[in-house]
Amino acid sequence: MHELSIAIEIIETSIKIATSNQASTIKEIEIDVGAISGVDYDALCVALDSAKLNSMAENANIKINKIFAKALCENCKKQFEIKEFEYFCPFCFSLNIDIITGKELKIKHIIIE
Amino acid sequence: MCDSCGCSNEHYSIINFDQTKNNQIISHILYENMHLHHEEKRIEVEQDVLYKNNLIAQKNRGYFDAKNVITFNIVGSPGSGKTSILESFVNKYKDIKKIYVIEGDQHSNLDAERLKKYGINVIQINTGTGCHLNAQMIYDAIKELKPDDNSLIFIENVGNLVCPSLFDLGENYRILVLSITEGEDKPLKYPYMFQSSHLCIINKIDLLPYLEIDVSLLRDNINKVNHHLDIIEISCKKDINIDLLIKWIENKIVK
Repeated sequence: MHELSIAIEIIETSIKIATSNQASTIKEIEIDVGAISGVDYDALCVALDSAKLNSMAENANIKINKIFAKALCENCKKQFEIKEFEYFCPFCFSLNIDIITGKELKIKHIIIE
Repeated sequence: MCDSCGCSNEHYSIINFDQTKNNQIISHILYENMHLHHEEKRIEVEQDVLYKNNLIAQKNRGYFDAKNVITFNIVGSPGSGKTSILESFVNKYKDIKKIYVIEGDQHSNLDAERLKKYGINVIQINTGTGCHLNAQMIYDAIKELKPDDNSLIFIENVGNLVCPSLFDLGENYRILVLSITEGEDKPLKYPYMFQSSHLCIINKIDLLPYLEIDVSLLRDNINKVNHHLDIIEISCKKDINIDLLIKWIENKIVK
């Protein structure tokens, strides 16, 4: 359910940037969503469709990049992908890991006209 | 031909009307070999979606820090015992330190009424259809609350094991309340909340004889998701281990 507040935030931020650049419409919004960012991809898509209605972003093409969750083991220094919330190194089973990617939740760029 | 795009539009003119003088033409500029383009422009944003909330949260954090106020964000499912735990704690600790409570619920001020009985300052926030508290709500609440220096603030979030995990309120510590009736699989099903918390209270431990729950499996599952999380087993109804919670909170105050 929090996806809607996030979608509104995305649209509002984009509109703010577009109007400060004297644009009349937003043609594209690209966002990064990490696999462990806490945001559900499908719910966000639905929420964005409602959030952009009756705004200058109404016809904007929204690109969502899914970012895989990757971590580095502090113990054996190997990189791996985190799957199914298993926060340990699959090589040496150490719990001492550093998350490198997967927590992203950001607006990359917008295309305005 | 247009110099910029090569289209066949030979002349492009801009006519300025003076609207105050019956639309009299004040200038007529004729551009040859060019016209205005409505060009697409790409703007690199690279901005965190939660940037606005995080900024206000840091503002709150700075305020708390300056006044040496320690804040705790209490999260958990509806009915897990968040308010009951607060009641047990406030009852035992209200004479030692000044305590304030910010209550978050979708509707009603039932929780605020429960806590006001202990003679402390309570503010109720109703989120309406909202499923979580955000930093702006806390910012507004502390303006009204005006907490004393060296006090404690407890923020009881909306009962929800999903949404509040993403929204930083500017708190120092996040306490997750989970009751044993919810089942041992909850950490695996709602990992974000377990990852973002500092303490997990396993509540209603007095019901253990009546339930088929494996607490050691529950602890294992919590450790799988976040092995930094402190765990305390509590029953506020039967007053079991409340002193352990007080010790944990005192530890954080001294720091």
